[in-house]
Amino acid sequence: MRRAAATPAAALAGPRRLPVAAVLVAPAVAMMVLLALYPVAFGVWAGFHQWNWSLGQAESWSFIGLKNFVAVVRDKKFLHSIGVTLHFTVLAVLLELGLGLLLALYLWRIRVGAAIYRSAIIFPLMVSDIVAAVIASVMLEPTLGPINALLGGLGLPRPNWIGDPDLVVPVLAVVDAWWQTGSIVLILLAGLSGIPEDRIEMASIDGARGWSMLRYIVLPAILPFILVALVFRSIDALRVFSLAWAVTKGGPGRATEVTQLYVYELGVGRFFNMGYASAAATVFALLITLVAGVYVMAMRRTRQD
Amino acid sequence: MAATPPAAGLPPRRRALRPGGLVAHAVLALAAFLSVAPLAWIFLSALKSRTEAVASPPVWVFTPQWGNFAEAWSSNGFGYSFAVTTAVSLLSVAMSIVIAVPASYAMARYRRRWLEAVFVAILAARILPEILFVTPLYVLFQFYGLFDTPLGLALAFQIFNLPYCIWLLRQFIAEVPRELDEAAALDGAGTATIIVRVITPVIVPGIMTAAILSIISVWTNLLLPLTLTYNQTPMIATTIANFQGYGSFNLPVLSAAAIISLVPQLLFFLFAQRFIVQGLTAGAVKS
Repeated sequence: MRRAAATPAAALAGPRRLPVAAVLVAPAVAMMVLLALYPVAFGVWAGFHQWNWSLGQAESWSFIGLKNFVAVVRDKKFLHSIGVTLHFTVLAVLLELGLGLLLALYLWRIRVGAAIYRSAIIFPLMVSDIVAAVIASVMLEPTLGPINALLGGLGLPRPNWIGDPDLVVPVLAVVDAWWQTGSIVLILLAGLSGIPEDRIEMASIDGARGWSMLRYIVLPAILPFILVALVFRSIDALRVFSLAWAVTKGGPGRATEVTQLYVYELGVGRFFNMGYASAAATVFALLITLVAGVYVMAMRRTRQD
Repeated sequence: MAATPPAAGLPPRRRALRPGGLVAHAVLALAAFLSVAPLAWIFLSALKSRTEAVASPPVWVFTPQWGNFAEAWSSNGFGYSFAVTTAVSLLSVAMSIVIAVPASYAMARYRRRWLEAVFVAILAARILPEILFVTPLYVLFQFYGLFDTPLGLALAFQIFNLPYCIWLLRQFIAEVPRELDEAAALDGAGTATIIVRVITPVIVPGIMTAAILSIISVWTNLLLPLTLTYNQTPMIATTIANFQGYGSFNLPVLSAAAIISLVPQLLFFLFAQRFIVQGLTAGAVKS
């Protein structure tokens, strides 16, 4: 065996530490620079150019300054897509948080069968984007789908779930809740299982029961977990794409044209207006960063309290 | 109170939150049913004939057409896309793990401001919308010959999987006592040896967790294959999307394809659910 040239303390804490750390992270940094930073920088730069492939400009772009960005923030369809995305996100996240909290509390409380219920409730998380969309399309089909067959059999009205512009966004939010509530359940369960037994016991000796136990002991204890779940789900929901692309194609009309779908169609999905699509993608990414920033501030604040 | 002692082994919190055990079971059973029912419906549809699958009211008694699965496997190049998706996910996860382990080790063991900054910057990539990356990658991949190739796709998934793996493995490595590193260093082991021989064996559960969730993410994502492939690298997500677009819409075969595409996740779920749960909650618990 090779003798250690230096003491372990020196090996771990000496001046050679910094270069070693740099070598260790170098492949990861190189990967992220080449695959994330460089393309994003290229995309942002492309946003400053008139570069519409469908007009034969694939080989040459021309610098137009901020024109694309100005046009994006005034683009009614872009703003509409932001509105649809926010509408979807708020509905989906509230629904998932409410359901997730209810189910997590019940799972935490019962003794028998919790593992089986939990498995079933989180299983939809395993379903891929496209299969979730296929399932939603089949279930919600207005004339042949099982949901309307059931409603019809009970003599109830059979709404056109994905064909009605007023109904379709809430319906997609419900589909998302079916698909993703499990992740909130898991995060909240992790929080609940971390509450010390003696804190619950003390409170129960002090007479806390049911609602008051929930309100004053359990909810405050898991508040950080609720916030984490809220952040994860919100950022995911803002990036909604596949449900809109594969279930409704953005329709009816533009009722479900969410931002990722709109920008996709502007660019590589359909119109190949690459400069403009790049500018729109940049603006959308800034908005998401802003939302994430607000959440991080809120979490810092609750942690300090 | 004293007259009705709580059931043996019932912890105080559960006593305190009573009553309503029956309501809990009813709500949970309903939620479990609703979670699984749509998948069960698709499975039933996959076993029906074409007319039975779209019959109204639904047909409940029918002869299972197992041939639909064989037909799905051989339609639209589905079997081939299954193999391609497997290859891309394995290649992608191998890259993620090999690159993430040393990076996570550095970030768990060395306290440096610049390392912290690098860590946050890498994580930031994960919250950004896919479209921000795929629009320029569509152009760059064509330029560099990576468009519509398994390697290109495996690389593109690093944008999201590498930050996740680093973040997860950093937590696992942080829990390994430093004494292990120090003892190995005393024996003359260099950093590379410590990472490969000492740390890696201890964090196998973490590596499993990171690998399983990365594979699932390759398997389930739609937007990346949709934008970064055309027809040479058919991924399962885009292949299933093509089933839908066909003129002669065949619901049982589409359903069968959907069910087959879920098999890897189903296997992981049945045999490694512990890792999946850990992977989905680790961030919430520790950060």
